[in-house]
Amino acid sequence: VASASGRSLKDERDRSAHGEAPVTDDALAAEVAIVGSGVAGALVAAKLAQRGVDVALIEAGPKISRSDALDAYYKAPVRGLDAPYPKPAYAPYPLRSDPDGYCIERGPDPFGPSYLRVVGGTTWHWEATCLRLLPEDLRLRSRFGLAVDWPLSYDALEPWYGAAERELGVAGAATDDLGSPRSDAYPLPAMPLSYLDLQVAKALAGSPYLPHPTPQARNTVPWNDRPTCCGSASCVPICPSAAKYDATVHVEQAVAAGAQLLDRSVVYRIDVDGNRRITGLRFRRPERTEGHVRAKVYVLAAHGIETPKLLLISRSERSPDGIANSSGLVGRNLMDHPYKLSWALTDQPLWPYRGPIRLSGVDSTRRGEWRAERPAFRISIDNAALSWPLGGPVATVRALIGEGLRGADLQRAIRHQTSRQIGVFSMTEQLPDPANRIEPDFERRDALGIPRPQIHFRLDDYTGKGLAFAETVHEQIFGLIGTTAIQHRAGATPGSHIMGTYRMGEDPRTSVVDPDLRAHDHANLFLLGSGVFPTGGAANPTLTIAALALRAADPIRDAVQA
Amino acid sequence: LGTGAWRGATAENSFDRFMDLSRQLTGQTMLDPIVGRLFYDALAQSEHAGALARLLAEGKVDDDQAGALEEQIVLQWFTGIYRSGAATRTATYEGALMWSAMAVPGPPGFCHGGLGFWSQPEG
Repeated sequence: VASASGRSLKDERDRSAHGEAPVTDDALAAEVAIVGSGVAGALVAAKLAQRGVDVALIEAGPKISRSDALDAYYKAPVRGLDAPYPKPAYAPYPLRSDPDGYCIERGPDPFGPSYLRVVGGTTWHWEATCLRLLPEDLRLRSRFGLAVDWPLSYDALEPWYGAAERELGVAGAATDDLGSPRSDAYPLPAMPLSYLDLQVAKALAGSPYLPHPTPQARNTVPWNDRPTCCGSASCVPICPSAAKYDATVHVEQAVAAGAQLLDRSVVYRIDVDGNRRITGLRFRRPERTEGHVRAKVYVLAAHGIETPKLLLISRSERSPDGIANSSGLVGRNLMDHPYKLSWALTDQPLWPYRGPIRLSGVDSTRRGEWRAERPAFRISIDNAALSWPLGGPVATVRALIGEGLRGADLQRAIRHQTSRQIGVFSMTEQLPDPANRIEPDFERRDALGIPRPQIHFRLDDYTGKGLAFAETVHEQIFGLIGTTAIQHRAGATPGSHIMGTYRMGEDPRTSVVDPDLRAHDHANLFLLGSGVFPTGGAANPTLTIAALALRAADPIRDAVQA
Repeated sequence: LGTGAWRGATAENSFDRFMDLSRQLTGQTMLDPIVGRLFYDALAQSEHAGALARLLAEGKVDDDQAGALEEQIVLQWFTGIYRSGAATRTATYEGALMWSAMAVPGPPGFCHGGLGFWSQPEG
């Protein structure tokens, strides 16, 4: 990597002397510049650097120390998703404590975005569920007359799913393909189920809703210098031991192989020449200095909101609608996995809040001929009980104290309730709708003067049917388990899976990137992440993000040599 | 709790009485005085200050203000969290009484044992 060396800095000054570019405090050159150090960017950075490509990996947010993050988590009075992480003004992200503080929700329904801008990205607080999409998930148009088909078949993706499972270290039950055919075994043995999962599986045996062990990127044996899971019960928002995969694994691999990591560097502009080649990236640092990156190939991997925002704010006379946007689809077709959350008290204590937070789920509901009428869904049995809907056992403790319980009575009541709480959550497939979209708000800017994202979002009747159906299934499940005090959160709860905003397809008129994730409009620009998903299935997106990123590594390297 | 002997209390034995009251309200005999000091000082500067002084001076007060104060004291000990002016602060994470009341091996965010201990019922 040429890096911020004298050579490239001098090049910048020479160019500046000729009036071509402003003086920059920080300039570097690389063969491939990657924006975003989450799972997609980090994987590609590692794979390319290991094959001798000069890589610059640029991240808006700071590096994180796990012990500092843990300390912040312990000290936070509200221990939500973002509690452990720095909240830099220069690289803002949506905070649960201030939902409109950065992304501006235009409605009519809340999208509820959640992501981090730190080295390693949102994998710091991901759940580590590693489901593959189903073959029929990629063919919604052909099979059910809905939305669009993916431009890739399951068979084309399958080897890359295997590669992604090896990179992330997925633990899974050897006999379960969960409807997604496999050519090889999971790399790690399955995660042991909790007592709660085991009792629920017994209760649901013989019903259509038998849960299966969930494949997950959490170590069941020591793997890639990371330890075995020690049951900290805090996977979301932070794993204290690093037994849960996060993308710092591949950031470190990339750096060890020679990639240059620039953290605290917020890319705000993509430059393009008259031949539609991307010529550079400009970034700002918290000290308000400016930087400039020149590369042969550019990769944006800043997730489903920041990536389209960056493309759209880089509008110029040469690209008045933004970069990569001849289709007009950049930022559009935003999809989530809207959830139905239900919870209850089990008749017998099942002892939740111990071990990994999600261990089993119902996958049979992800497929079926009825998908033309209502969405595929996946039911997770939550081992962290009410942590998601109510913020954890602290809500129970507050309620019992509020009822006037004191002393030994209070202690007994806390034990009684928290040992019987159960959460059953269904994730539903949402169809793409071009009106659901991310746009930059040029009137409202962040601390560095960069337009903030605004979100237009509406849930349709198809989603409504799915949520209503899921609620009836939750009732059946609670009946079979034996519960009281059943509650359902009204309407949808955001899953914060950000998908679809720069969709993949063969036709440049109806998609933004091709199946290699190359922008139709720019031969040296690749866009990674769940923004490329034409549809979302009912599977957590990360494993598919990783598989597609690994698949794109070869075309990206070929583009360097072109 | 006694009453008469408390009259004319000094600041120091007010704190001792606060700890006595805390033990009574929580049902826990072992309470960390360093954590207790944080709670006590915060309450003494809060809207509960008057009720706190009366409760500690007289031992028992039956009114809504005293009830609200007692609820705050119990909440502080069980959650480890207290209000200090406009801020909400954590006095102790792992020392919050809710974790020992729950049937869990410890608060989330610490290693709790070998792989799969969660497959067995607790206790």
